[in-house]
Amino acid sequence: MIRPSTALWASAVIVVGYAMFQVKYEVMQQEDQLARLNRQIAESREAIRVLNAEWSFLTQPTRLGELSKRYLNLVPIGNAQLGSIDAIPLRNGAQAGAVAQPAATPAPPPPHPVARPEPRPGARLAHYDPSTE
Amino acid sequence: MSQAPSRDENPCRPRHYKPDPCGPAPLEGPARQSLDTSHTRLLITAALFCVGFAVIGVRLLEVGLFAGREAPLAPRTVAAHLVPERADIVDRNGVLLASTLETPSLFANPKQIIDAKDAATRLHRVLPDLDEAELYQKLSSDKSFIWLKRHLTPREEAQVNRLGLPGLQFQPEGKRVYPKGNLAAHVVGYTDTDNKGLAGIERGLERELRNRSEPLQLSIDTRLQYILRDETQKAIAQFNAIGGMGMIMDVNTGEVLAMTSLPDFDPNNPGTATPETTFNRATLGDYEMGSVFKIFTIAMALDAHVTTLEGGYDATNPIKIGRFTIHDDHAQRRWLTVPEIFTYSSNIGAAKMALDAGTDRQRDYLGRLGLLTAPRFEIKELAAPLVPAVWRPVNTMTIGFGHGMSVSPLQLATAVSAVANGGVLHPATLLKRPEGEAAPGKRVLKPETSVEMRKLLRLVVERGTGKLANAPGYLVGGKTGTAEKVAHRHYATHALLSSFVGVFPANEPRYLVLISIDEPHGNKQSFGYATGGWIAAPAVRSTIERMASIVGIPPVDEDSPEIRRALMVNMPSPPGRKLAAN
Repeated sequence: MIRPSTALWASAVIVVGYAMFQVKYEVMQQEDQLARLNRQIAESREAIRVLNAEWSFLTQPTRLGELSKRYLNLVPIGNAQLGSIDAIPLRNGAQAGAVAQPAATPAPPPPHPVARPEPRPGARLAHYDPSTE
Repeated sequence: MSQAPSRDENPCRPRHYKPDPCGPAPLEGPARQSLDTSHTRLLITAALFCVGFAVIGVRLLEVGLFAGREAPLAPRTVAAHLVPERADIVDRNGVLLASTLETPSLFANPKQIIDAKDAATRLHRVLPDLDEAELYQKLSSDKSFIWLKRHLTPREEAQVNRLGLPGLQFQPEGKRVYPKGNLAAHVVGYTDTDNKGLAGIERGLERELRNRSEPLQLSIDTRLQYILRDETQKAIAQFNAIGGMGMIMDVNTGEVLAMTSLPDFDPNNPGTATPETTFNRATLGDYEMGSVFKIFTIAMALDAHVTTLEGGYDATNPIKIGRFTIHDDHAQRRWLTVPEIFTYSSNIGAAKMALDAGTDRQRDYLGRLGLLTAPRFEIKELAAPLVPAVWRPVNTMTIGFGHGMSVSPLQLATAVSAVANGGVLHPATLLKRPEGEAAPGKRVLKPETSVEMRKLLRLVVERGTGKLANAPGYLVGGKTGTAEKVAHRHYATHALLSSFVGVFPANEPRYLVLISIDEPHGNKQSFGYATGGWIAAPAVRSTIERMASIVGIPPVDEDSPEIRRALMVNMPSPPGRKLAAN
């Protein structure tokens, strides 16, 4: 007949052994996950570097200038188009120094003298060939 | 154990009692003693084991039930290879100028190659830029490692993989890429296949780039760099010149915001660059800058009280000294005041003024402005100035108007900044200075001298040889310079270096723009002139007009009373005939 203490110890050994392997496998799993995450971080960082470089490549001022010339009807701001807020005269009746009411702001500027061209069919910014990088 | 006496010895034992014949014989003496000892030892050992198991059990429960509650025993660092082997280079706004990307490089282990002939043929088919015979030679050698091609494109990698040849392997390697291409080629520089810097910042700050993990921030502003390069390029094309260079500098900190040297090259393919294109004119070129040097002559004369703005010199007749004759390009043939000498760029006046100040004083002032020694700079392609070994009076006179001494455009820009910014020389730098920190510098001129020089510089643009640089509203001040290039130890009359150095706004200068065009040819637009005032001044004007809104300088009313007062100079109204800009 098994003595109660022997039974107790035997079951303790089983429980402890089971728990130990459980912990061990869990640790292995976590190690795997850590390695996987590290690899993913490395890949993501490399991808970010590539995308950063590509962004910088695609925003070359020369290229942007050409695209803007081709698709936008805009020219650089000229000297005559710049002014300060103080230089705008107040409307008649408005008190000098008073805060201008929204209604007192000057009339909206006249529409752009040159009509914007209709977007061309198929006009997309898709002229970038990755193989030229 | 009870020490009860044995029953046999008991006098009161029952008669029929006999000791159990198989019962344990009660031990006596030493045997009993040793039994007791081992019993005790067993108990102690059992107790120790119990304690040990208890400790392990408790720890097990702790780990199992309360896992994750405590900090890991050793902080795990992210693997070391995640840190790039060479730091990125960015501009002052964080725009990427140079980066390192991982690309596969192909190598072979010839010992594992089964059929070298076949492998070479098939490899040549997917990598046509490799020579087939050379491939065969490499693949049939008896080494166990040999590079075939570095830095393949993803497509090439896939094609090589598809061949399925044994003995071919890839090794990921960092490759330096320059996404902005030619734009700042001379500033950033380039590296060799093993990522060792060969030019520019890549070479000058090699150790810094290898050791830091954060990107290296330059003082360059990509937007200004583009504008400057574009305008310099246009001027070169328009006047059919062989090259040119430009620089934009913050006069109050010495930071170089843009620096270009044309023709330039693509740092992504340094193999295709020629010595002509890799030559950095802005720092490695030594040039006689011509009349631009009059800035220093007049600043020296005013600072040392040799003369004043009201003083003047007789420029009626050319000066004959030895075999040289110094004459004026825009001869007024009369007595000229100091502002007139500067405005009409009179060589005779400047020569006399330099002679008046004396050789020692000239050398002292040029030395203070950093024009006699090689500057300290982040890039190593630097020229030391060429100064006369023996400084005779004739040298003093010619240097007074910018001949007989060569400096690099970088030195010139640094010195002109000091003249314009209030008299403090800030060493030029390509690295962004920390914001809110005073830039290092030392006083070289009195503040009053600088105020007077600003007025004179403005006068040149308003009324003198630099009229074409006048960007309305931005109060451009500056000086033209046209130097005959030295060729075969003689001045070549038709090979000119035409420059304009401008500062703006003249009442409180913030930026300097210098553009030099090498060997321009006058055309219809410039009425046949190839001088600084006709070639470089318009380029500086466009540059300033385009950059002003980017750097946040609003145009001002040039006729407002306070600006008039700040820049007023007593000068007789210009003579009736039109001035040809020099």
